[in-house]
Amino acid sequence: MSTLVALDSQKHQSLKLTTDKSFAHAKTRHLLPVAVHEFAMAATHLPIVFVKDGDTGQFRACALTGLKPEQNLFWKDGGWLGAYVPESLRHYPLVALKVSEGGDSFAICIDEASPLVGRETGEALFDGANASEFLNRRSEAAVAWAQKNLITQSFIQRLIELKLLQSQSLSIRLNSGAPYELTGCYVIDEAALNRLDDQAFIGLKHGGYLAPIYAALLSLNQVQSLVRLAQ
Amino acid sequence: MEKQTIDRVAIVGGGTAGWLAAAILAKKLNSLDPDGVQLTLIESPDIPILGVGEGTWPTIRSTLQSIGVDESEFMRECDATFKQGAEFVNWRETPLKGSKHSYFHPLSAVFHSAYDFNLAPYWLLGQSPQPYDMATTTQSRISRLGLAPKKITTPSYGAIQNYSYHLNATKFADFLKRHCTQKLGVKFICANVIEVEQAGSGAISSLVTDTRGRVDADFFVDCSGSRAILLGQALNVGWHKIDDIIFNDTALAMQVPYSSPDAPIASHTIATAHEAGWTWDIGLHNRRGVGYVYSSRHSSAERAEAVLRDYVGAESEGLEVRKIPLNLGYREEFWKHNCVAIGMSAAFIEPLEASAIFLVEAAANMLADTFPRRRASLDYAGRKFNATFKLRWDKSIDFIKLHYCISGRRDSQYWRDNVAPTSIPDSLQEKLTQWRHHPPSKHDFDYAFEPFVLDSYLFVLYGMGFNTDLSANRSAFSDGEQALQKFAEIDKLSERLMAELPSHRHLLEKVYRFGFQTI
Ligand SMILES: Cc1cc2nc3c(=O)[nH]c(=O)nc-3n(C[C@H](O)[C@H](O)[C@H](O)COP(=O)(O)OP(=O)(O)OC[C@H]3O[C@@H](n4cnc5c(N)ncnc54)[C@H](O)[C@@H]3O)c2cc1C
Repeated sequence: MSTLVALDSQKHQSLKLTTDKSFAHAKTRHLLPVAVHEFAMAATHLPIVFVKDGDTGQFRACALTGLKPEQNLFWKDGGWLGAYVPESLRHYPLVALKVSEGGDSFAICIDEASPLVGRETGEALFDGANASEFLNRRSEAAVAWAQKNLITQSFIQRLIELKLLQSQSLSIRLNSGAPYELTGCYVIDEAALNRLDDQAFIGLKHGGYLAPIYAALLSLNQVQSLVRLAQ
Repeated sequence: MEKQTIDRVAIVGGGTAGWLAAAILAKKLNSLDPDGVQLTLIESPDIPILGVGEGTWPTIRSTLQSIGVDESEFMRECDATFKQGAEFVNWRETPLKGSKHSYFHPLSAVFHSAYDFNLAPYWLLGQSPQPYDMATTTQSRISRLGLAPKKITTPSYGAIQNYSYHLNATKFADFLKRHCTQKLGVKFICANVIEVEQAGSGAISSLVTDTRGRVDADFFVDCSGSRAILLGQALNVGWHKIDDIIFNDTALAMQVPYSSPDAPIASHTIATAHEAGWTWDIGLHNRRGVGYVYSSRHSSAERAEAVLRDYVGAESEGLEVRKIPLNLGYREEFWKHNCVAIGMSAAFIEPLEASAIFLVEAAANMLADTFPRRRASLDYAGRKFNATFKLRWDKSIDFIKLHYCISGRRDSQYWRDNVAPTSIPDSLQEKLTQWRHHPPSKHDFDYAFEPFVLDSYLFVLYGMGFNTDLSANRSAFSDGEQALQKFAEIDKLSERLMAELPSHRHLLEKVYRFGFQTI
């Protein structure tokens, strides 16, 4: 259970943050958010799918790291497997959230319940009443990540407007156990993409959207890598 | 010589009927295309719309989707909520003091679908311990718990349980007006029609307005409400009253604020029977709409207001009551010459099953689908329209009367008068006699456009405790295994839905904030 609260120089003055290169907080997550900027890199390791956030119904771009809920095939024996670490993992337990829906300033929030947060070990968040050098660096990175997410949202919005997303359940067949369908995933509809009129297609090019679109399409081949990991 | 094609339509009236008809016609007849039929809607700046119809049928979803409305935007702008059916409180018998009983008429019968396999006889033979409405559908159980019919991740207009909306009628008309004029190419004239000009044949040729001159058109749609200024006044078509069957002739309406911002919102209309009528109770997003429909022959106005205030309780203190006379019945013809009436101008059979807006949609759809683009086709289209709508209204009257005439209530003259055989149409009496020994089946409904189908009859009949005696015919119902299995499936699905579906208010807050995705 995450308990996000805005960082407060009074209340959180003595808190420290440890860095966990194993990303243990993600060990039971089968979906990890990815930003459009990292599609190209992520695509050669992980399938990229679009899923609806259960809480808001809004689409998010995610890397699929497991073949069923609560399963992360990339987290094994106490460490992260694979060459690519989705950026979102590196910011935890800090998150930059918009202060107001329309505005453009962010508040830095922290998951107070995270085991990475403590008073004994790690780097101090505050230096007296001021943010420490460390916190400043992490906050900037978190804000940059939040901005990448906003760009990812506009990318997804464009895909929806052009009717380029389609729901697709992934048929999973493992050596052991009965075959099943992983539902709730949406992927780019290649046929619809090919049917787009020239103007819309050029629009995608100008938006810088073509590379991530093809990256997402190609990334679906990585479902097989997940199946291999699961065997 | 009259023009031989019909290219321009004028609609008089900007209530729910006028704008809904305009939207459906403009979309289907492609008014944005210069070769399409051109639509003009004239609305009086002085005569307010009725503005009380707050309950709809699930057809409204496909109507709104087909005219290009975004579901979440529509809901936000019209204070709309999800409607999953109606709960009928205290209709079955006179309630004991301080107690109440009720049954649901849900919008869907998942896994029931009496058309393929009728569970009713097996229920009558005692195969389920639950009341009929709970035994045969998941939806009654879902709405009783105040749960929503879908989730925020369900696509717009998609449903997990069938649904329609409760909405603010005045805001809905405004919303449709913007949509029609901005997106569908409907022209709008704000003026009073003061004179109707007719050609020698009797057909209408133009409308004279007080401030915007004369409006010529080839075809006219009368959506002027109970005034019926075209079909009723200019073309002199009479009104067939039904006050010998349904006695209600007055409504008192009230808007009741929620007691707190997180008060639960019912996802069904609550229709409660009283001594001389019934109250509706409809939960919109920001307030409830409550009202008492009653017979002034059986109740004084003071007494009626007291009944309504008593129903609402302490919260009614200081709230204003609006009195609306009801003239139940329908036109002797709906279509004459080149004029058709849609909405209150055509008919009104009290709001007990909230079917008026549904019949507006049905009428506009039929008009658009059979639209006589050549003047020579007017007669045929008109004859068909008149025949089917007379039937639809007669069937509606039967179904509404059913709620009253099989009630066990005898606590007032109103209820005693309602069971008098002379007040029950023959078409209904004949069915009731049959159903005393045979459960209703699809063969009792022979017309494709009957507004109320088999499932609806079953919910009302067995919700009201109607007795069908199957003792002489038990042997005909030998598929008990399959029935038991279906009852069990409904139980199982209900459990799953109860775990999965959010509360109605919870979903509404999300829809208003985030909206549904289109896929
Ligand atoms: C108490 C009550 C509850 C109801 N509940 C429901 C329900 O739950 N569900 C449902 O489906 N239905 C319900 N109805 C029915 C529903 O309200 C009507 O079907 C709906 O409002 C349609 O009305 P209308 O558009 O035909 O008429 P109105 O709303 O009366 O509109 C008439 C229009 O004609 C215009 N007009 C009139 N004369 C002229 C003129 N001379 N020149 C120019 N314009 C003119 C007016 O300005 C107005 O715009 C209910 C009705 C009542 C009375």
